[in-house]
Amino acid sequence: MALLEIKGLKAGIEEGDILHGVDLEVNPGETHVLMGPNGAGKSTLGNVIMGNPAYKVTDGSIIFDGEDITKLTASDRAKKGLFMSFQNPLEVPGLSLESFLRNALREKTGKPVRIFQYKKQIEETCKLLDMDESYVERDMNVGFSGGEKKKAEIFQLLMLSPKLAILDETDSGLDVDAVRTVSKGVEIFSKNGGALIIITHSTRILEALRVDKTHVIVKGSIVASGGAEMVDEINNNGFESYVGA
Amino acid sequence: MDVKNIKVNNLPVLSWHRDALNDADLPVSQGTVDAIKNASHPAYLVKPEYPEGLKVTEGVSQDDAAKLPWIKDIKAEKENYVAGKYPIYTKQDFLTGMGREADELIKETAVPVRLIEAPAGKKFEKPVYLHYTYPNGSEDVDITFIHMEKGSDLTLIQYLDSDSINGSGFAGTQTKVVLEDDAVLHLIKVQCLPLDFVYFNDMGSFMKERAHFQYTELVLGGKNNYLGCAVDQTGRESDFKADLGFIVSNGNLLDLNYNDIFRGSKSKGVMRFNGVMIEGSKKASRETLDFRKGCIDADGDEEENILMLGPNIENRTIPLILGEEEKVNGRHAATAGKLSEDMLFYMETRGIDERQAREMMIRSNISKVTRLIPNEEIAMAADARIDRIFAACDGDCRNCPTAH
Amino acid sequence: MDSEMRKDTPIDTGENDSGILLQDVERGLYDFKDEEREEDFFKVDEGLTPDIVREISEAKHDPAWMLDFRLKSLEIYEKLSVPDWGPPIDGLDMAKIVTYVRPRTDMKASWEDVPEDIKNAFDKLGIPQAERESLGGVGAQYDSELVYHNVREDVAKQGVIYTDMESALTGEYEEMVKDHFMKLVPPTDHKFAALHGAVWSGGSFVYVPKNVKVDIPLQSYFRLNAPGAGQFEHTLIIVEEGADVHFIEGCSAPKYNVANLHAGCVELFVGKNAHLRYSTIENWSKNMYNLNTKRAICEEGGTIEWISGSFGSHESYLYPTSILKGDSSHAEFTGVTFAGKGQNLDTGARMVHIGRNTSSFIDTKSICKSGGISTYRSCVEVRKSAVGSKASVNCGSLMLDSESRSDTVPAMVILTDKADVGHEAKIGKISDEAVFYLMSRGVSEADARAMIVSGFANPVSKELPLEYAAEMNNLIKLEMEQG
Repeated sequence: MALLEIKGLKAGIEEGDILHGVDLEVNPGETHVLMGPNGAGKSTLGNVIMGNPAYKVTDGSIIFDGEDITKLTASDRAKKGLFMSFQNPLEVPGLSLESFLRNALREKTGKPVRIFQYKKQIEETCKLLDMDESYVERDMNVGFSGGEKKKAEIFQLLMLSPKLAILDETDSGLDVDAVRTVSKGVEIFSKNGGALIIITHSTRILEALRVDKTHVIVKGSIVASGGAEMVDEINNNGFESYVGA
Repeated sequence: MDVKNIKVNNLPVLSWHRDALNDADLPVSQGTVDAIKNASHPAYLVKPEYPEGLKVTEGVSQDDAAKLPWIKDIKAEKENYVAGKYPIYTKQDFLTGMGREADELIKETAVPVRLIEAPAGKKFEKPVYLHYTYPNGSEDVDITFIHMEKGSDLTLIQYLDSDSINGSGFAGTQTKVVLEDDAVLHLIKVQCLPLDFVYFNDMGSFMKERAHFQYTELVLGGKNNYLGCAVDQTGRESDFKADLGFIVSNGNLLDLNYNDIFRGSKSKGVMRFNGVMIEGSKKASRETLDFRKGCIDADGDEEENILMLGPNIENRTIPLILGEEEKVNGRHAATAGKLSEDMLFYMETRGIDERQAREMMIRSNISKVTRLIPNEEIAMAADARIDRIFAACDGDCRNCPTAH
Repeated sequence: MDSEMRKDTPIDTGENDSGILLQDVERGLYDFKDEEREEDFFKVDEGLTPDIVREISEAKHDPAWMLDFRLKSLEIYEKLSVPDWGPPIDGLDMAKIVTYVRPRTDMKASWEDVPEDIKNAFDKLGIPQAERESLGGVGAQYDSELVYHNVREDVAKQGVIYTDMESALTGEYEEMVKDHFMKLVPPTDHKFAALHGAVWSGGSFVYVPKNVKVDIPLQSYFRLNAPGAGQFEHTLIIVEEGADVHFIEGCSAPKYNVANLHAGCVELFVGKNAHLRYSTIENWSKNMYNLNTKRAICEEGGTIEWISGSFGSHESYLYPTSILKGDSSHAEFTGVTFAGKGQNLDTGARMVHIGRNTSSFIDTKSICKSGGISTYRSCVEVRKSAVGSKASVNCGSLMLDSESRSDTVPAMVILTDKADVGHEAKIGKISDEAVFYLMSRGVSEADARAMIVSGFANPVSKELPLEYAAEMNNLIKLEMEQG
């Protein structure tokens, strides 16, 4: 059974649809890459899957883990095992990453977080990502550099261990160090059986991953799907052949 | 002489009386009122050149002007809005910054109104220039109502000066402005009166959809100065920008009340105040961003920077943010103090002496406003005025702008 | 009318004796000053008589000078009017309050009369039953005496005096009390200070001798059960040179009282290089008119820190004032105010810089919700003598809906050029994106909003002792849940 099954999805904003009937299937543990020109609807698709109330679904359905989640709130979707990284993670002054995650974990499991285990998990995750532990004591994303924000997102990904993560990496002009951390984190997540939808222009982040499928989205529809080889092909030849289609 | 104090520049909400910011007293003698009443108007306006297509009517009675549809039909600020138990805003048919008692004074003087009407869609490239020259001992009030019809575009400069350097007198102006949809107005008021003049400038305006209003005010002279500015942004996506620059001299006062009311969604307002206070001067400023229910996604910003030059100065400020709409952004920032020692030292290491450095800082403070004036002549006059202030330094620190 | 009356005031305000008060701070300086014409005011129904005041005084075994002080305060009370600038106080039932302050009047409520929302709050905050009854004004004795005595004996070993005002007044510290009592907040200050002077009852007296550092916070929480306490209580704290103490007032549990006026008074004397932190979590029941006056004076190098959380009351007037008299003295005010349904909370601070090189810092957060009105009001006054001073104000408002109202009214009066004064204010909403962001990590919308609000209030909670901070976060959560 597919982990994520999107059927005939139409969605957009008040002024009109951006997605015009998207079909997509992701199986457990698979890694999908979503590519397309600017403004094609890649980020919109990610946001609609995650349930951003800024977008309205006008038709179609999103089935996740056997359940129709089209009408669920973002938090309910997250509890079921969905995750999305943000291009611009928001700053929450006064709320430390550590205490936020503790709350999020408690919400997810419905049980109080056992502090000792939790601290250990933080320690291990920081080690895996080569991150300084002082990160988690800081207010969420406040005063973080772009790279630090991205690292904090990947840190949350590993801590929350969802079933499917949507990584929006479109505009990531990150330094080498941050890219390395992100790649490493995503690799660990994938090896542990997590499924991924990666929205990206860059191949660097994909190097360590086994890509199962590539989709090209143009003007709100998926116009082509293929295997890992499509990533290289598009990077060499661009989208021209798809835009016309 | 029979002098009465009229209450002007009322703070929209009351606060502690002891801080002396709830309102200001403007003393007016009966003699002044009579002199203004008996003068022929416009009394001190140098005959202006108006561009073709701009409709200008002098000598309209105040009663007739109030009946003009574009004035009368404005949804006036009549509501008795309640914050807690107390009404904010004094009741006026057409809200202005100085408030009801200034209206009453103006009514008493019976000065006629000048109407300036910019026809729909008409763009006037060249700034219209109204130059007032007040001789020593003159007393006058000048009233202008401006109607910017849909899509019209105008720059209007009102420049007040005198042929005497050390004269005294009384000069008041009132301006009511209505901007229809998509109208653009840049209104500039420059006051270079002698240091013994009483000056007031009362302004009120209504902005409709997508109207742009830029208000630039520069005050370089005057003994007691009262500045009132009220802007009602009724239209959605209306855009207001105010810049006030001033120098208050020894023994003089500047009292201001700027009030930006947001009603239309996505309306934007920015107010910037840059002032220099010279030894022995007093200033009180009331700067309000008032977000009314329904002004969704409105954005308001105000900033005050005051340079204080001398140990005997009274600098009072009350920047209000009033909010009854959740979906807004409002900010206020203020700084006050002397010139930074670090800056003075830095300049000195580059060969600029302390006096020069101070002068540079004062000029840079005021130039934030002068550079907005599209008229060489006035910009130069403003510079000359600053020169004169510096030249007044006679070694007596109580008079010197660079007093330290 | 005000100034005239002040001239005739028979009260000894202490300016000519003991040298405690400075000559250059005039009386009636600070918060409630009314100079308006008499006809502008709404008059509250009087009904408080010298006989009632005598009765109170007798029941408390006041020394003669205190009876005298009370009667003079009563005269002043009758002459003063209520302020015209803050939240309306027409709803104040003076007759009821007057009856309540009479000694031996049995005004105890029964548990059934305690409002439901308060009982619910007790539940949610996990207050033990015995304590609930006490907080609910039902009057059952919650035995905190033991805890209080232990604390008291602990600090007594260091020479610290920590006792109730009544004992201090009749014991060996009478002279010290007499030298300080209502010298910082004279009864002429405003109508409710005068009322306080006439009918005050209960409260704490703390004296910390030179160079003594008190390790544990002293908490007035343990003193809630003294009759009449929490209504017109007087807190007097004297911290001598080089000493250090933290005092905590109130608690997060809602406190209910039949009589709905709280006109307490806090006077803090911070000696040379001394340090005093005064923390308050106020959660009066939502029928309360909270007209409280708090004032501190700092000698050279002294520091006063106010931590203030205002959650309760129907209406509040609260502006702790710091008088920085000594050179290089320092004041900080950190406050959060949460105005919910039916609340009109007018809070803020006042800083008066007199000494050279003094510094002050204000950081406040206001939150309003469900029709609540919150007003931040402050004044930073830098006198001509305060050369080299620094002051900074930072205030933020968060509106949770458009039924509510949030005003920011900060004044600055700067009388010297040799000072740096900065001010920043912001008003805004919870960003939808931030809510979605937290929700995308599995947090419910309500919790996401509560988290953001708690984060907003974090500058205050992080300054509180751990258990108080946790209580404050619970309070915010509770307030967020209420419609």
